[in-house]
Amino acid sequence: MVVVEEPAVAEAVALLRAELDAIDRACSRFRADSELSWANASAGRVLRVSRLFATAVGVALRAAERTGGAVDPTVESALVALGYDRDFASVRAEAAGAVRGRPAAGWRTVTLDARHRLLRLDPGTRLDLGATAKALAADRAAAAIAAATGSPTLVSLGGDVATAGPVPAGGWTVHVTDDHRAGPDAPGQRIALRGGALATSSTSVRRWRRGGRTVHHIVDPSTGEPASRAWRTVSVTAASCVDANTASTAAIVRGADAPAWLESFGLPARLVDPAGAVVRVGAWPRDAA
Amino acid sequence: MTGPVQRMTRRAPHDAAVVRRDHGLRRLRRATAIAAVTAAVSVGGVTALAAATRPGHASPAGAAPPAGADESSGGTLQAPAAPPTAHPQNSSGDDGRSRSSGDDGQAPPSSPSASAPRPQTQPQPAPSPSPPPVTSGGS
Repeated sequence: MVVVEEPAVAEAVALLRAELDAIDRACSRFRADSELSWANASAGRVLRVSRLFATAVGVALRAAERTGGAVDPTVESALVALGYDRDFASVRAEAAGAVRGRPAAGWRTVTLDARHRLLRLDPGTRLDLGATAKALAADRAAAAIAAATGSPTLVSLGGDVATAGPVPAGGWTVHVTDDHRAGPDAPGQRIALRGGALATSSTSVRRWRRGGRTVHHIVDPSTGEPASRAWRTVSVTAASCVDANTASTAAIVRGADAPAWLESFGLPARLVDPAGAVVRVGAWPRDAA
Repeated sequence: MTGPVQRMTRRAPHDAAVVRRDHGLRRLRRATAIAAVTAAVSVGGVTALAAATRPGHASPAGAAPPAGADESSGGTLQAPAAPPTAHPQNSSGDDGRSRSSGDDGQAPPSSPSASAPRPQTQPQPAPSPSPPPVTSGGS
């Protein structure tokens, strides 16, 4: 979704589509012709990659470094081992066979020279950029649209929200909840976003069952297993959508110490535990009366 | 001046096998040279990669922060310039239990309270309609 002033709609939609197409061609692990698929099939070799793919990998490595590896781009094998081996719409909701997580190869097995756009994955390493590529697309699209149109701009990609340009009077109204597909009456909180970005990660979506247990898509890279469910949903605001999504995903993985960790960055955040209790961090607002 | 054709003409016919062998050797040398160049490029690529980076790290261009982030943020995740504020429309809190972590949960100084009128920095002659709400949730 893109929100801009009326005269800018057509140009904004075209820019957003172009950005999404470019990110998909570069970063999709479900496209055989994507650069990511090519890189995964070429582990052990030095590849010269596109500028966009180099940027996407660089952003993912930066996320890994800043989260101490809690958000790691080498979890592809773990996700596949858990059964998330195709576009989620095609993942079977339930299957009998038991699955076991597979620890990620680790982000230090990825070497990137972004200046020369050279990438090498250690043999056995496979990338999944799902934790950062969508947020990167939101940031890039919002910036491009605002620059081209001068309009206040909000881009929301599956709940990852990036803004750019002037801030509307009263801010951007965002309903924060478990599932981005939920309606405005779903349990949650309505806030006014005054620039920057907002991302929400949740273990209550993208779930499936294997061998009698429920698994979800946020993986602890150290174990390859679905992250512990200390938090059902975490929403974070940050200067960029990449930082917001990096933080919200890392908070799910970190579990109990997530509030203190988020506080250390000064990131306003809202964490919801499995029973529905809410913990606010930093400058996250209280509910309106 | 002697070209290949002249050499050929000076040679006896039974030297034809030697000439074919020489041609074969030249082709082999050429193929070897091409293979060596390829290998050098490959090794050079690895060398350049190793010099510019170390495993798990990107060169400075790759470590550039995303749009909206301050390059001076160093190794941090960067907070927004302005924190979010409560929206005047009522929210549906999850189960009504809410607590704050870190500070005392008070809204930041720049945050208007939910019931206070918003400050108008300048008159709006033709205020545009409020943007529609969007949803942020897990995906």
